[in-house]
Amino acid sequence: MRSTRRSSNPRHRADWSLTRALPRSEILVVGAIITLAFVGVAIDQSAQVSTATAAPAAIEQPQQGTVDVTGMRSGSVGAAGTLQNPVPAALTEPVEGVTPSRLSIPAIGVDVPLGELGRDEAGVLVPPTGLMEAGWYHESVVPGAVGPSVIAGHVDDTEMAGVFARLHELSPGDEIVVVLSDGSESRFTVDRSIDTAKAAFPTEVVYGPTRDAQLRLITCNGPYDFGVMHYSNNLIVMASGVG
Amino acid sequence: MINLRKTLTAAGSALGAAALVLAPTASAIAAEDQGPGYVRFAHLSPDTVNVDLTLTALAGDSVVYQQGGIGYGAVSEYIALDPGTYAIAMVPAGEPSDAPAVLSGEIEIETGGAATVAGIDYNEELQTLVIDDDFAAPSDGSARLRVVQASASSSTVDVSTGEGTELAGSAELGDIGEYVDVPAGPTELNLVSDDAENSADMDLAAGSVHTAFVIDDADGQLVVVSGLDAASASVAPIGGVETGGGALAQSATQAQTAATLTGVGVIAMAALAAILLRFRRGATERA
Repeated sequence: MRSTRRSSNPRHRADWSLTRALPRSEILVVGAIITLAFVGVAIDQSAQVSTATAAPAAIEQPQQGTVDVTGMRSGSVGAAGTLQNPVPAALTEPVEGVTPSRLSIPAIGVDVPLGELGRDEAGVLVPPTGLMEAGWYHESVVPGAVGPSVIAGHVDDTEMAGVFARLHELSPGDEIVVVLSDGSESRFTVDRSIDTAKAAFPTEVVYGPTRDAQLRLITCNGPYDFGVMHYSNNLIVMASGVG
Repeated sequence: MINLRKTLTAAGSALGAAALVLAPTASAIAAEDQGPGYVRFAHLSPDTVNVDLTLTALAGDSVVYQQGGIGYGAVSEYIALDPGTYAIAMVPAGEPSDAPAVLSGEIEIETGGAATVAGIDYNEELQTLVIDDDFAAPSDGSARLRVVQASASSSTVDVSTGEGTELAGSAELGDIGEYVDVPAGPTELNLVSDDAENSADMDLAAGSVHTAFVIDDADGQLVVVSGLDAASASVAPIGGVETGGGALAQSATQAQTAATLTGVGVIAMAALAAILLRFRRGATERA
């Protein structure tokens, strides 16, 4: 005949049960610890929204500068003895129709084709479609020409790291090479990085007039807002043309 | 009628107070704490030979820039220089840099400043014209243009666009016009002096800023050589860029969460173990 252990051995302690095994006060303590732990995790998760990069730095305010020229002396040295025709203007701008085709950043292992980016109906820059593709904003200047040339790429998508996942590792002096569709190369070196809230995006600094050839690489940056599923910041790498 | 601002044309003597100050409203060019300042050079003396340019940093006495064979009508690109003081020497092409100079002096560069140093007039009267290159950015879709009167043969010059926008009226040698917004695209300039009339074509990209220097060719015709003062994106997008899906933030968060949960688990297990141990001791004592 089948019998339970309880009935066959009444002296033996009943099946183990937390409520029976522990005094009430100790149950409360364990419960409190576990509750606190999960509350802690929840708080931690809601606060844990940043990527590996540093906190945003304030954008510097425009600063005025001067160029003083003093003690200029000019004398009748180097007379040609005849009136001359002006020399033809040096061709320094890229040839019409040439576009950037490839981006290489050796310091962070980037070597990818470049697409072209435009604006949507609201006037916002449309990011590249491919995760590993960077795109050149076609209403910025061709890289190497006087003015700002703007290239954007993804830091990640919902599952994987993107082409510009390591953009934050760049430091002043790092080299950036853009290959143009005619095979020529425009070279830049990194000046600085700007980590900025998208809400306070420095449009003038990125797209405004410059005296010489400039390049800006843009990607997303933390903190990540899981509520609206996007990064709150943009990381902008500023670089100047070489040669 | 646009009046031109007479600026420094002091010949052969020191330009003691040629201070060029960028307005605080200046564009993004000045938006750096420790960026460079900019200077460019223009050879606009019609009977002066080609020159070699040398820029020497006074600190360390090191040559920071050299360009050879700059001919009449050449307007250089901007040279970006770290803030500091530099000696300028322009000597006849092929001569050593310490030979008697066509033009020499000192230039002090501050972050965000920009100027053009131009040699104008006939060789015997050679003058240094220092031009402040501050400007406001052109409005979306427009370009910005000004005229510098550097024709040595003309007493005065009038310049207007094909559409009738006046850029210079009765401008004398060395006069510098104000920047004017003009529609982007091909632009014709009408150049008129007392005894000469000509036109010049320029192609002005949207967002670009130009200086048109009016000079003479060998036959005494008015012509234009231009400098690109700055360029911007033709149209700036609104706001930032959406270039992330959160995977890196997600994985960073998940890793953090896993670590935290592990830690919590360990603590909970330890607490449980301690309590159980105590219970067992209690049970043993009771037994």
